[in-house]
Amino acid sequence: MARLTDLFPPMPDLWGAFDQMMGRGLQAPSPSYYAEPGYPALNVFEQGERVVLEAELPGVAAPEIDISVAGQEVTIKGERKAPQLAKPTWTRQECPYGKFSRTVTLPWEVDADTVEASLHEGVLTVALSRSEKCRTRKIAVKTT
Amino acid sequence: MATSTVEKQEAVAAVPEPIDSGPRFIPLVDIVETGEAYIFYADLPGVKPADLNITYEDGALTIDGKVAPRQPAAQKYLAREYDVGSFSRSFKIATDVDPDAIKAELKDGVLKLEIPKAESAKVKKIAIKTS
Repeated sequence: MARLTDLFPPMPDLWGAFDQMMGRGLQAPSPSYYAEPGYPALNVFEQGERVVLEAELPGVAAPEIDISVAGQEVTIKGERKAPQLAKPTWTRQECPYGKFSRTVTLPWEVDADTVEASLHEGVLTVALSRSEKCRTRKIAVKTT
Repeated sequence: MATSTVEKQEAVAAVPEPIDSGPRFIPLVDIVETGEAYIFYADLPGVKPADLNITYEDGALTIDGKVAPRQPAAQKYLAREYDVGSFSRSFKIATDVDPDAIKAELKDGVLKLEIPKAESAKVKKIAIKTS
């Protein structure tokens, strides 16, 4: 789908608006220095106790996607290869090909053992949970 | 050298308007011409075959359909760089194609359309007689 950011210039305020929700807030994912800046486009949302990253990555097979977690950072990296044809004449070329890499920094440390990633119909979904020491704990209030 | 006299024009405005509301998108498309066929690659992530229509009529090729939202409408986002919705794109392609032999394949969110050229439009190698 065409990205909303294709139509408007970058809006840094977008990130400030989420500070209230997550305390320190989500740092802006880094731009991709390869295929094109900001590829793939990411949607990030909470689902219960987990945070889900969703990206549209058409034309990339699961073995070509490299997802890594280090502390608070999640990196999605890979390569989308252009189709190889015999003696082609490209009359129109719009789809992004090439290497891509984006890193998202979450406000808490990610539990690397429980990350779940799946690819379906060209949509990548990565579900992330907080590491044990970053989980919220309810504190009981004693009455005296 | 023989050059192709086929013109390819795009006619996006010729598509009838939908009656539903919601975001509408124009999918990214690559078009490749080989000696045998026109090949279209369209980025259609999250599209199911049942929600995709491809029609060829009178030289106009139309790709349209919709993607149902994957999250509930009330979902709060921490970052939202893209949306999903209905999409449509039309191309005016050469008429010297074989419409009954158009092949469509949807894989990994990419639609590949192979539109074979009619026999008369295929590239023919001319043998050179030497004497």
